[in-house]
Amino acid sequence: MYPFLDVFEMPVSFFGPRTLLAHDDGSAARAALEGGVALDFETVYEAHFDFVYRVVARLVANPNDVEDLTQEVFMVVSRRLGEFRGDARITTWLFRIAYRVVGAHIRRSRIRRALAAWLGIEGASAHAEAIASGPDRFEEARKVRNALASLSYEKRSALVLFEVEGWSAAEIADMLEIPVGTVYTRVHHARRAFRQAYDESKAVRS
Amino acid sequence: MTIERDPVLGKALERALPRTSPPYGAKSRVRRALERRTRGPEKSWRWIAVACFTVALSAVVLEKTLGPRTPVADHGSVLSLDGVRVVLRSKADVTVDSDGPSGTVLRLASGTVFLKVRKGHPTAVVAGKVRVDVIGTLFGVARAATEAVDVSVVEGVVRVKDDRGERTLRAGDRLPPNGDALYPTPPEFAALEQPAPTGSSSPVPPTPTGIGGDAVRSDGTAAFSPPARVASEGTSTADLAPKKSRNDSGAAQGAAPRGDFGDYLRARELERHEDIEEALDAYARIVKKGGADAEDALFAIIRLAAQRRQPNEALTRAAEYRSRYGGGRYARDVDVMVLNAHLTLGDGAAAAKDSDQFLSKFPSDPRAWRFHLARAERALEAHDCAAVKAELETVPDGELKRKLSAACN
Repeated sequence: MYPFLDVFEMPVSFFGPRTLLAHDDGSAARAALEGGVALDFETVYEAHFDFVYRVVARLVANPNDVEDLTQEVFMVVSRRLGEFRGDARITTWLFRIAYRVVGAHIRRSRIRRALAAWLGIEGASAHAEAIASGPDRFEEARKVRNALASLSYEKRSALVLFEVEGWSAAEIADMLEIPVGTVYTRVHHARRAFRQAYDESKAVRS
Repeated sequence: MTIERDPVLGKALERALPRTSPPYGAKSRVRRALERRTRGPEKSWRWIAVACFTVALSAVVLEKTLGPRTPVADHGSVLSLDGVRVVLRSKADVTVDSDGPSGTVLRLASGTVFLKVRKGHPTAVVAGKVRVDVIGTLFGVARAATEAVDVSVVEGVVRVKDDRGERTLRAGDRLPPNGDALYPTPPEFAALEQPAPTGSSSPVPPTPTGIGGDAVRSDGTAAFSPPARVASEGTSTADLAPKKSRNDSGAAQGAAPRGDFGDYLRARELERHEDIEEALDAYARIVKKGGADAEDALFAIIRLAAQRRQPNEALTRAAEYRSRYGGGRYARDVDVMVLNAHLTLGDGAAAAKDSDQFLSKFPSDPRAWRFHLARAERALEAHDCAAVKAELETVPDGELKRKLSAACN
């Protein structure tokens, strides 16, 4: 509504988590479960809100969607917390929920955009127009975002977790429940597709 | 099979992706939204039934006791009541419940109103669950269709009551929708104090400013000029009056080309419609061109960089602002932006330096609590709980304050 309202927000603390994995501390959850105590939503929310927010921010391209999707993730968590048995770390479980929620959101957005383009409500070339609009300091970031948005969700998340978060292929494979070889393939193809989309955007610009 | 990381690609992706730190207040906003969504359906239906009954009853009671309400929905118009001048903005939908010696109550269904209230005239604005009681002041209330209410005070004091409790806002304070903390009033609110420029096409002549100025001209018509700096739907920016300097720093810039003003308004409109990239383009063009609006535009760029969690950009632009305008109109706000940028970067030493400098120069500034909060966090790192407690004394209640206090208990 008013994009300038939150400008004076305070940032995270000095000693906040720096990476997703650094935040991963499932010991409390495991101890609670081992002691026969059911995890309550409030504890999970308090302990892992920042983690979930960060995961969502990494997986989704549009900053305006991050808060809404974090909310969606915790809606799922509130419904399914009773199913968590402590077989995996709580953060792994949360990550998988966030991954599915964001994936569903991205698929829905793509369908909506395709439908809008088909109906002529929104120009099919909006992507190219966004790239072609005037030169500015954020042009580079915009090109990167557009190129990233052109990748499939699976490739894109593998690329981001590998290149930005610095996870190993084994860690990604564990989180996404896929073979390690698949991670390498996804990262490899994602890089190639990203470079191609990025070069195309440069060609459109010139 | 192995793949090496590509650091250049990684950096480029990181710069383009959204910031990963939750903004201040995000946790409580999401919690409130979850609470609303997880309410049981039976309870919701019961509430709807009660609400329908209450609304019907209220309507009857109001009709009987107050007579017909005065609908005032003419966007952009000025309303003069007993000791109160009201400017309606942004498709304001307002009704006056009572207007007499016992006080004036305005009900804001949507849009924005600006009020100037003479002392001794009890006035209240009710916007949904929020009630703003006025003592003698100039302030604005905006209510969106989403029920979010935004209150800003330019002069005087108001008391805001909502379901989160009651709090007092003073000059320069802003209570944003769902906000737990107070924020500075945006500069354009202060523009309400500007008389219409000589030679303007406005039919309303310039008015005296300050609290207690005449609300009504001798002919009984409203004497409150619509704010020259506030853009609104349905208003052609070309028709609006040129910007007047808002204070001393702008005095020498009064002869700025009029085209700048339209450009600035257009940029603001782009920003309001969340077309941020285009807005940034527009602001950058204004800064490059120079003129009276360049300072506002440069500040807007810093503000957007902070909002988009781009601390390095914010710092670069803040340095540019300081070198160009020194102690300009936004100098202290820029100090806050610089502090936030340093905190976002995790540069505690720079943030501590910012805090020491600001607090030594402006210890009683309304923004000072942000610097105290930063120092409290620094003190916590040094396990100095006495210092944490001392720093938090002037900090309004909020999530970070609670966290820091709890960490020391």
